[in-house]
Amino acid sequence: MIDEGSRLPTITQILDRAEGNRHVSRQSLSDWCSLFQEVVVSHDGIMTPGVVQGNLQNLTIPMLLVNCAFSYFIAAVDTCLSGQVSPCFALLRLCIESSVYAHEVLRRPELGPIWVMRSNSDADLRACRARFNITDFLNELPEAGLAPRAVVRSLYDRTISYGGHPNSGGVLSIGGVHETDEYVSVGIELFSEGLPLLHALKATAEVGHAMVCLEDLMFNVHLAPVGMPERIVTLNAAGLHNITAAGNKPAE
Amino acid sequence: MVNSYWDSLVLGRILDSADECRRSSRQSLQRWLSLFEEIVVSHRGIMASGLLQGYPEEVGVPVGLVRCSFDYFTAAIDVGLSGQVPACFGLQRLCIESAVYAHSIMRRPELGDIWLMRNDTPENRKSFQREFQITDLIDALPDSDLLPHGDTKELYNLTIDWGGHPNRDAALASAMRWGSKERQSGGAEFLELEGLPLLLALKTTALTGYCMACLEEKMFSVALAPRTFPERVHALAVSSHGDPKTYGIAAGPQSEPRTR
Repeated sequence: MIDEGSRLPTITQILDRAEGNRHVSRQSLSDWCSLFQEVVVSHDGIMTPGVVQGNLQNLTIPMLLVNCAFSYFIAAVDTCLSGQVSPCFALLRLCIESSVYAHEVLRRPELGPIWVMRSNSDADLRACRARFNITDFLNELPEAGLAPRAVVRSLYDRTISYGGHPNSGGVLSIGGVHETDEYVSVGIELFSEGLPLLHALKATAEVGHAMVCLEDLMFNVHLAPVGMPERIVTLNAAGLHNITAAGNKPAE
Repeated sequence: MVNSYWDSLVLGRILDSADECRRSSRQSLQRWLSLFEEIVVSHRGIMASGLLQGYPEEVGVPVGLVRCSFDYFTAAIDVGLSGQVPACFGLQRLCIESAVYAHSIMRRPELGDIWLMRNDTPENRKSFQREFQITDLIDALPDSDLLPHGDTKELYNLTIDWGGHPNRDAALASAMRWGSKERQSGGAEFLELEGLPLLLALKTTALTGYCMACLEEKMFSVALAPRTFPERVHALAVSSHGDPKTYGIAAGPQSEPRTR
């Protein structure tokens, strides 16, 4: 059994590579960056003080969670542009969870104190775990409209499969097991490009869009970007075409 | 809170700020970086060709998970140095989970198939969810001088509290910056360049890396996890801040109950 471990770079080299990748990606993936920017502009508009609708007292916790979701989204963009695909999916998972929690706390304000007091005692922790179940919350999302539950759930499942949880999909998407008569080697790339990166870019844009759609629903400020899912599909198709033209086979 | 046209959020400026924070942190936090480097060297040594002990067919899945765990660890450093604190904790959580999964599969090879076939059928998924309960798996870790399982659990819970799950502390860590003064331009409010949350993130990143290396050492019988590491992490955290009990800085070995 051998592993690629002995070829691992130092932490300085890893950080340099991440920074270099980000620099290059911001130039070469400007189309994707403009989609991410659209999400940022939309979020900024929705969260503009004085525009948000609702009883301010009931909005504090949802606002905190929405803010948290946005910081995970930014971190996901940051890691995605550096080519760190599994960590990107992990952050996208947290982005969806925070947004969905915010949506549910806004809908049922009695959940707010349970969330706030989670760490106060063992009983509070148990109460929080019992009430804050992401699967249940996803089921509470509206069936149709801007953020239909089936779409958000499918996105969430995808983030779980590809890095939001240590599953085989995530491990195998960025590496593989190479077996010969003499040895088996396991190679996992710290930085990805090609199909895994394209997959992460698409998921990041979709999660960002889902996040602002939930904000739009929550705060009654209709600034979620219209037509974005179609543009994501188009950009993804162009990316697939480029990868195929460069000699890689597209994913099934 | 003020929001005018001129200080509206722009992705490019946020990413620029994150890069700037990273560059600045790599200069000012060199002692922390040397601790992170120690983990990288340790991981590289343990995973070196020819050193791993075990049957190839039984080691494949754990090695894949260990490499994934390392992937999350380096991403946590990258994100942490940019001052994105909740995201850093989120990645640490995944690092611990991957390493614990790897260790559990190594100890009970029958779990490997369950892990691989998770998505095949609804029954497989149920079976996976039954067997791969992270709390149970952490509880089942053997105690050792290097890494008492209580420490792993405490560390894991800390990552969950501060960003591994959308909990109060994670939200407040962001809000402390957000609400501290008028909204800043460039998105700097998302980035923590100093302060206790960042110090806690640095400390737990180092301890998470140590936890990963100790589990690798146990799994592959290559004794290269850095000795006296938790003590040095603790010393560095204390020297960086006068009151180590605040914000769970003292968590981990030699810990006392957390106070805020």
